[in-house]
Amino acid sequence: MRRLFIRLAWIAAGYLLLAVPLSRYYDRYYQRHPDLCDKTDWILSRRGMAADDVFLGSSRAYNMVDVPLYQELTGRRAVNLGTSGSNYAENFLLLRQFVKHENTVRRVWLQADIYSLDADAAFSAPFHAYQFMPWLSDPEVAGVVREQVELPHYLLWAYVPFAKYIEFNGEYNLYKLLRGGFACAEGPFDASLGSELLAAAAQPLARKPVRAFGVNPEDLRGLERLLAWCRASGIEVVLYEAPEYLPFTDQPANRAALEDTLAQAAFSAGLPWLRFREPEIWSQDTLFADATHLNAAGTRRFTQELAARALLLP
Amino acid sequence: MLFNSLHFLVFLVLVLSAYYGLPHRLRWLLLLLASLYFYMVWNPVYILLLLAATSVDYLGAYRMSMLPDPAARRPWLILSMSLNLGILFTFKYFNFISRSVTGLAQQFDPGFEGVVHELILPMGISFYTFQAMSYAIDVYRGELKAERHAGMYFLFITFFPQLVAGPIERAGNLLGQLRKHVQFDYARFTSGIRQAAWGMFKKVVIADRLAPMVNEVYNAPEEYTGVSLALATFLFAYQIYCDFSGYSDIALGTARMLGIDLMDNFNRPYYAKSITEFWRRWHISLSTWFRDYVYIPLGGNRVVKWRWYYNLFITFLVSGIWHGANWTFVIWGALHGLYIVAEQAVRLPAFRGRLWDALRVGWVFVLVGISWVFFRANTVSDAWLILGRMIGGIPESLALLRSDPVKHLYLGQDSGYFLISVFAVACLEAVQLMQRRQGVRYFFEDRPAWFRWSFYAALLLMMIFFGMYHDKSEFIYFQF
Repeated sequence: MRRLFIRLAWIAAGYLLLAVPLSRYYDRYYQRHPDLCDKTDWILSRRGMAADDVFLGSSRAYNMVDVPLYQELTGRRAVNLGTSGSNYAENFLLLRQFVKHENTVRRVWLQADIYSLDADAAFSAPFHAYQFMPWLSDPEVAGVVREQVELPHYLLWAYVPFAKYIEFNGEYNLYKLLRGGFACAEGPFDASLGSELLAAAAQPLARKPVRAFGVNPEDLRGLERLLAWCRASGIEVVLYEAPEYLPFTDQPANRAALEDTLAQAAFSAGLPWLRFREPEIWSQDTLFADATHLNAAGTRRFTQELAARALLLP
Repeated sequence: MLFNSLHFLVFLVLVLSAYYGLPHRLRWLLLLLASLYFYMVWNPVYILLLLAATSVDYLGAYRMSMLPDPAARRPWLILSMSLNLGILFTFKYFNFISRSVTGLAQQFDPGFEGVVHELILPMGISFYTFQAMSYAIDVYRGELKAERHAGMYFLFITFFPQLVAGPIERAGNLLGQLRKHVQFDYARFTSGIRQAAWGMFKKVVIADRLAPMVNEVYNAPEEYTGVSLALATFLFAYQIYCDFSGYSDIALGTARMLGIDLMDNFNRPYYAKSITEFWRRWHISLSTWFRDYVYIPLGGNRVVKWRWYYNLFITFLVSGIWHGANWTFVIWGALHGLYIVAEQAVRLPAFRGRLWDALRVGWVFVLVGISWVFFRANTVSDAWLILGRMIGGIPESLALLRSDPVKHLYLGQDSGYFLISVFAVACLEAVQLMQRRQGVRYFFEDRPAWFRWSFYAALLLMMIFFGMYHDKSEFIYFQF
């Protein structure tokens, strides 16, 4: 048995000898060589931006606010930090890292709707832990990752050198690294300032089956943490509910109760909750890609509405 | 619990530590509790089904052992067999038969509505029921003494390394070993680690890496043609081999770390020079099960020729049905039955030489590859479509390979991913070519230290950089 332990100790030592420097190299390399075609990487690579308005949330922010148009209509500098299928914990990390990377933000437009209150039900994987692996040595990032993933996974990533890059070797790929980084050195987001508009869908829109949503206490805590951090950082927050295709909003059955919870959360934080539900606009099939996402034409229409309301704010 | 998970790694370290720390008399209990936990991680309720079925088998066999007259033993055997086959039928085949009958009935009465249940298929059901049946039959035949220790019998059925996907062990091999006083043996333990690591390599570096490419094509076969379909089928042949033999290697390696030798389940099947030989090398524990409990009771080859062919065909047909409740598996089994019958009926000239052997190996691979189309296709019509377009669409596909290589050559992945996959398969073949004797563990044991350690380092590096861990997939044979 002793011989086995000695051999295992040698193997472990050999692994550490390889893994510790490699892990540090990967951390540095992937912090400095982001995949600029990936929205999260693009956000994490921004430096020195001064934004009057930041749009934050899931795809209902990412794909539904046309930032160049917004800038044109308001004369304010803006950036879209929305990412597909992300919960408030991920939104918080992205905003925090954005500010930490010498970018300034005056106001955050935070998407708040029934889907963001129950991200586990709304999205297939609401927290994309792999995106934050190069930043895991930052205690704040580590803290959020720890609460979002199972503890054994977190311990493995945090304390076994290079384990995080082994698990996510598809994303942090040796082949890409040897080839000199990601092929996408200049992504589409520089021009669109983080927005990506969706194509029009076949009409009429396909009715989605009813899905049950509730209030996930973790998501509610995530919202509260984000609001508290913004307050402490001197960043104004506006909560808003992006449009949905109104003929479909009879579902789920507990929608009214969920909306009350959001109104209450906004009221408690002393924040406005802007809703975009004008039936004469948001009942038109031609503005939507699906029941919960606007297409490009709809996004432009919504951005005009958003800009009009923004101009009313101090 | 998946072998390729962190959960299993922690579980195994704890079990091994406790196993070698406990006195011999308590080890069976530890292994039994660990095995029950291993199964309950998947679905705690279904352990009751397993234990209920196992209890009846235990009592039936115990009763049979006290009855000297075969006629008196028969009702107990029938009870045990009915229970196991009944469970299999209910969970695995009822919906398939019901849907098939409904489809047929609706040809005459469009309003006919069949009955289906929504029960989940218990993991490993085909494996543990077959293991239990072999035990009952062996006791009935008087070839095995019934196990009196109920705990030891439960452990024989539920022993975690082989519980959910085999090898389908025989009581004669496993029960005795479970009783044996195992001392820690360095050479044996490390050979277990090596075999498990090799199995893990096959699973995470090859099978799981090939899966997205195969799925891309087989889930939308109408979008592909010619070479792309042939390539996906070729890759599936390696995917399923590495997936299942990888599982078996991990199972054998894990058991070996506990001082227990399970039966070998694979022996380089794609090096077979005939279909008969293929089945002596592929899923050996199932092949021998069907040989001993289906083929030989039907009369084997000690009958007139047509009856012999019939026995062969029926055995493979049943083997196909064992694999899954779907017409694709039925056709897959029937196809292998036809191959075997044709092989026996048409004897090829016995040339000698490496070139002739290589031709035969290639021919068998092609035949097996054709059968894999049915095994993997989602429906029978998909399988026919794939076979038709694979042969007829070659000229068209050559142009598509040039115009859209990402879709038609790399099968939806980038060129780097594709090249790594090909490299991993090449590594597998290099090792298999170097294997002289049966079983991968001998491959490591016979080599000089520098070679072994270089090999381990290369294996480790490939698993680190090219293994697929995040999107963990179940082993294909778990569904059976």
